[in-house]
Amino acid sequence: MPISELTHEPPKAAPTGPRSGLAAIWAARHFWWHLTKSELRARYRRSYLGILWSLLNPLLMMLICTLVFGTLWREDPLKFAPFVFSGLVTWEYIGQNTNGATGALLYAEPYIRQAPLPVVIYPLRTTLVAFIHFLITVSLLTAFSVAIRGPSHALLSLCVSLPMFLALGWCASTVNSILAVFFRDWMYLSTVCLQFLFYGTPVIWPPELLESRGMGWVYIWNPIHHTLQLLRRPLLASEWPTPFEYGMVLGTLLLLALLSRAVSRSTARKLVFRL
Amino acid sequence: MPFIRLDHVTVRYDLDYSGWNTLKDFVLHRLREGGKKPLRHIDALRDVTLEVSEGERLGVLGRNGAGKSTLLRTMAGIYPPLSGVVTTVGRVRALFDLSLGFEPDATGRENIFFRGLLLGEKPEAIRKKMAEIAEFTEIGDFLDVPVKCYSSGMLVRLAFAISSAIEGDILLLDEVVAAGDLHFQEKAKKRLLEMIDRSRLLVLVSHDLGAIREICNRAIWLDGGRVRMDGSPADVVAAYTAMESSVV
Repeated sequence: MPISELTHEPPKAAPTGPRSGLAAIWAARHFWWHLTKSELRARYRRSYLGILWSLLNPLLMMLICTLVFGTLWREDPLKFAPFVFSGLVTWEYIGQNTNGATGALLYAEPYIRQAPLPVVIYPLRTTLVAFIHFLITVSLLTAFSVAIRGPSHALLSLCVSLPMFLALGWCASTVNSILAVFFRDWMYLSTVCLQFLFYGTPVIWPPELLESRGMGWVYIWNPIHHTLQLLRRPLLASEWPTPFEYGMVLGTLLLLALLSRAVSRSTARKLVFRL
Repeated sequence: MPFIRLDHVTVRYDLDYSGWNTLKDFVLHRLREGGKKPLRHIDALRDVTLEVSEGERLGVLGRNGAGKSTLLRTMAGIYPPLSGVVTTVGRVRALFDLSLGFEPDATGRENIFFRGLLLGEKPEAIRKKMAEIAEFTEIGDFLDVPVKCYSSGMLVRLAFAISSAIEGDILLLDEVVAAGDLHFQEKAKKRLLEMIDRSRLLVLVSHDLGAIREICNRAIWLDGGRVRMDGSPADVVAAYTAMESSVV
């Protein structure tokens, strides 16, 4: 254990507090990075198509959605297909991150009981695995966008947006993983919530569909919609995201960061005993 | 200068959480009891004050459930105390739960890496030690096979080889390891004794009173989470044995 000096006083200055934990998270970087690489390797070792699976699922879903919903709503397939694909790859990231996080701490119990590393590194592993898949599909989408629309300076916005996706994912997976330790049925509830959010967010349906019927409120205060816009605007419209969209995403990130900090601090003393 | 100091440390396990370890039960508990019904708990360590300094080899003895393993994990920083302060200065090397914490789909060689990193080693340092660790395990080509295919004996061999290859000032041992077959046990015992010799501070939890007398220069007797006696190994072992004999 990399302890040069370890002093812990209960309960508020517990070592899982995010502030005191940042140095410890960095110190443990080799460990969580290797865990991430191992999970990716193990996943692809078992599959014939390897990393192509990351692309195949949203591609097939995009095809089906474009055929069914595109026809139903009379959308131009050339515009609708990338719209659906961008929505689905983001949702894939959210889904992988949420589902993986519910077991992140429970499966890491043997590690947690052996070394006093910050527990937030285990949901970070989940987020990184999901984020790397997400990056691969976003790269494909970016190449597609450049091929169709030509290069655009709006693509530079991804340099800001993608780290925000990562931070959002980490905060969400931290909260999720801790709740799953204390409430073992949380994983089922989170799946139901995710399903509900999927249909309530413009992932496969265009926002104009509801706006034209005076129901814009369904998505206008939905932070996931604005997070999606951070991807869709530069890739599908060669535009920078609006200040309102950045504001909504940053606000959500701040709230999630505060929530994950509060949850990890308030459970720091009990967590290891609940595993 | 490595040392461990526990200042009025209490470590508490909640017992009733199993009554509401689902969201449904938690909500029902809140509705029925108004959240006022106190949860049952057990204090595995009660107001323990203890200092272990450089050069000391502390043996910890006591019955099952006396708090020995909890004490060790608290010293290692794994169990946070309910009250009191734990200060551990020095690089800690802990040997407990050896066969836990493997990535089942990763090979033995990859797991050497994970375990080493988990224990605080740098990747370069592990690479340097890889050949020596691999040789110590004596599992040959199996090192390149996922560990989910290993027998329990092979897992313990691997775990022991990694954990014992990493140095530290403070050595925390929970029972002397009985790893693998007779040949490997001899080998492991020899390495453990070398580790003990090299360590600057040792805390050994064991039911083997002979080992405590032989290895340690100080002993404590834990009873119900409290330090019942602190003294020379001979005196503490004698008092503990006398008490146990009187109970039998």
